[in-house]
Amino acid sequence: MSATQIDAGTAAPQTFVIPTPVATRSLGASLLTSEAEKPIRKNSPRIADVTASTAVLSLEESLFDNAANLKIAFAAIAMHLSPDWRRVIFKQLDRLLDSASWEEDSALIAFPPFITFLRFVIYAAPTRFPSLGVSPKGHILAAWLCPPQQIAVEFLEADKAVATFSIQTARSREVIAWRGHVADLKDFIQRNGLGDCVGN
Amino acid sequence: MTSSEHITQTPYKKPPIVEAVLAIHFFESVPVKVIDTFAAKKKRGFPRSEDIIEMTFATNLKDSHKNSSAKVGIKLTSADGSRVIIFKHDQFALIHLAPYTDWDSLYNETRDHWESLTKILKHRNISYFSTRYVNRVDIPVEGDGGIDLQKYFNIGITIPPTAKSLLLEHFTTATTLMAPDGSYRFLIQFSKAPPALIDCMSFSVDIDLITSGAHPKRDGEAWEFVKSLRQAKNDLFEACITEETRKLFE
Repeated sequence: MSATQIDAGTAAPQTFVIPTPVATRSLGASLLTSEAEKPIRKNSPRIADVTASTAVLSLEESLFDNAANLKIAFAAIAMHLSPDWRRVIFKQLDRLLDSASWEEDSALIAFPPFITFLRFVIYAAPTRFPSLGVSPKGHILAAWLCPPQQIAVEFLEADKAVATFSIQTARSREVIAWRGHVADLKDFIQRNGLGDCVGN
Repeated sequence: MTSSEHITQTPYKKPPIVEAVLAIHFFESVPVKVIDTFAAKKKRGFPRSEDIIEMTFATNLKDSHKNSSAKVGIKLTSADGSRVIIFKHDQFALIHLAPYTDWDSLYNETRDHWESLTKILKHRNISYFSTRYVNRVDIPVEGDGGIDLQKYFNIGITIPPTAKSLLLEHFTTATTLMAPDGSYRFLIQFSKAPPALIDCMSFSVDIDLITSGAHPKRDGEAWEFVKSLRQAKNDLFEACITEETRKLFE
């Protein structure tokens, strides 16, 4: 029946349901019900299938959400890291996102730079754990301290980072600044003789 | 090596599973009050609770349109983010996130939650079960920046030889397979995923097993039936990948 054939006085209300998460969407159901006599069966839900929320988030809830989302992101590539990495990173995330030590200028941790950090860790495979921090913009910061040398990295989105290297020479303390793709950061660290600092 | 030999071996050192789901689907809608009571009982282990809202848009030519929204379920998250419960009016699901441990943990935890639920849910109206395993396979790219799909997967797409110089940006396939005795179906979604690692291509092998025949009605027998699904889902995943892929998980 086309729209012009509907009798305005008798047409039944049309109901639409939005949004349509995969769990209840027709993709799984229609594929599974190609035989007309079969009842519609929904597929198993995934986390991404549902949009869930609370009305207003308290600080504690915001911090919990931030930590939970980062931990879930970590979990998605955790198979490439040792369990020690999971323990150390989770502990530091909990410290950074602890409401008891939260200050006015503290920032939540932005998701894309955290992903860059994880991708760097798997690619460069450091064996020493960094100390983590958060920049005012929410970028994750990582520092490898091996006195008198030091590597400090600010991870940005899209696999980019900025870093400073502090090196003690015979005459003075030199600081080298670097910016680029994190895949090149590993080479840069090694070229400057700081491989031991990150443990590779 | 046959697929059944693989599941008797030690689990993979680097399991590719990013999400494992065991779900119970209901004939009749579970009242929101029951869902909220369950969430309250689980608050200690799952401190984060979020509402799942369904929005309805109704219209007819006479009355214009009406919008409404209603809570249809909850999403509960454990403190470490490794477990999620999605409990909607028509389904209850426990989700394990990576690093994946084993089927027994998923099965036993789901069963424990179900036993908690049956104390507040008077009618055990199970319609069917489903279990879904989302695997992400990360494959290092070869010298030309691509990979040979046939080297790693026994499922997927074929690219014409004349197009092999082009960069594979995306594909997705969906396939359903029915068990010979009609007791379950598989929905396999195989697709290219965003690269999880530097210098790698990632692929998602998403296998959902959905029971389709009658299942035992008594709780104990029903759960034994669920336990029996493990072999089928393992066999299918192993059949979808090659020996080269297995090497990546070691």
